Amino acid sequence: MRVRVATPDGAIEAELSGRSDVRLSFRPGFYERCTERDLERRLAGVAALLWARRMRAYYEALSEAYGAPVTGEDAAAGPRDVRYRELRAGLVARGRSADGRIAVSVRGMRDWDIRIRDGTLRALDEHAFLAAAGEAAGELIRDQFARIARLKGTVYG
Amino acid sequence: MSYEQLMAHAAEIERLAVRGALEQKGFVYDGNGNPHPPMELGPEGATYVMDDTVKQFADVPAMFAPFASMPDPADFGSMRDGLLAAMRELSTGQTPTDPITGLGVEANITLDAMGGVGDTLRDWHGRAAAAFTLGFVEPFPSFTRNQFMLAAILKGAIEAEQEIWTNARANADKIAHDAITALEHMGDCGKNEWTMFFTVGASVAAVAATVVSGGTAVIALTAVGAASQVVAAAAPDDPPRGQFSGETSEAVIGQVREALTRLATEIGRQEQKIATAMGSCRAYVAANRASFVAPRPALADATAGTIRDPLTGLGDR
Repeated sequence: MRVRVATPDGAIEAELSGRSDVRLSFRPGFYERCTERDLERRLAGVAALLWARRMRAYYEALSEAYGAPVTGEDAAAGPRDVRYRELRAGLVARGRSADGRIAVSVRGMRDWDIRIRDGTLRALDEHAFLAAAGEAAGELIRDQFARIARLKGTVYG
Repeated sequence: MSYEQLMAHAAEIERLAVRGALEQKGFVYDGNGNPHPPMELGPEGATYVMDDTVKQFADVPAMFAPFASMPDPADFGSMRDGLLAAMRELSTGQTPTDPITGLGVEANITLDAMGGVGDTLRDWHGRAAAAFTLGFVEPFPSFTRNQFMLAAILKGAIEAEQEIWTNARANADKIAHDAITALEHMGDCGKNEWTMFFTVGASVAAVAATVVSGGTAVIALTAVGAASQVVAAAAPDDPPRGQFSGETSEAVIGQVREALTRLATEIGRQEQKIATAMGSCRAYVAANRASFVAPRPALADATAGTIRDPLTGLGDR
């Protein structure tokens, strides 16, 4: 699966390949004009956009695999479904870059929080920043999948 | 269609089930596909959990094994073609179409020669001549038509049988593919559910095939044909549908087991439809032999001594 999104102004593009390989790119000149707080806010928006696009692609792939349209979840079919969905909505997943400068977290895959350590944009060039951001995003996605697997095992096992 | 790879798919299902179960127990798979246990298990605990999980799903290939050697519909082809050839031999101007499929069957014009037999035998008199005319020449068109119907009924049954196995193989293949999809997507955050249409359950359609009795009465026999080919009087049955879901490997494999059981049940139901129709047709033929073949002529038992006798042989008075 490969999905790609861009902010409406074209400043940031993000691509997700496979399960957790995230690559980001900036419009020329954008990085130089940003602050850490700008990027935290903008990247949180990109994350939400990317994940929404990913879920759409996921349902398209599922529809093709099953040979029947799948567009979303059916209603909860019992107390285990209800409990699972409650816990899923509160699940917090985290990821960080290897150098610890960028930390990302998300609750219920809806409420995104990006933290970029002060001074990062001075210390890292654009290429290094994008690599670090991709690293943090990938780790978050893998953390989310691992937590979902354990949650399903606990609720349904 | 990948029915031929059913057992390879079964092995893949087993592998994915083990992986999914271990991931739900906290194991993390690396890029090379090797599982790494959670720290809290310790090496002995990890080995125990892994062995136990592998054992839990070791019977998955055995679940699919009976379905891997289902009959090939093509194997019935020569039987079906032989019956069509028989229909062509028996096809008169009266019955130019296959009653099951509505397709045209070319007429066998040599049968027309039977119409001239009466003229040829004008100079033959006596009891044997009268018996021959009454018992063989006059009912010949009815015999031919009814035998044509029997060949069509048998062909329809073979085509229904082919349809069962075409659909059964496709359904077994779909069950395997859906299982792989379900296990691959079980780890995602949404509800894991899928629908299966058991098309095998709509393979066999009932059709009326008529035979004539006593020259005029028309009797309707219940025959069967492949649902995709019959001249349908009513809308075809909807294939039975199953709704499946599972959030753990154990649940998914349980659903797969249920789907395979359902498949076997539906195959049995469709086979029974063929068997019931064939049974009642056979019973009708056995009880009404005279509608299908001429009575044995007395001449068949004639000897050199009786052949000229006017009552029992070819004699004329």
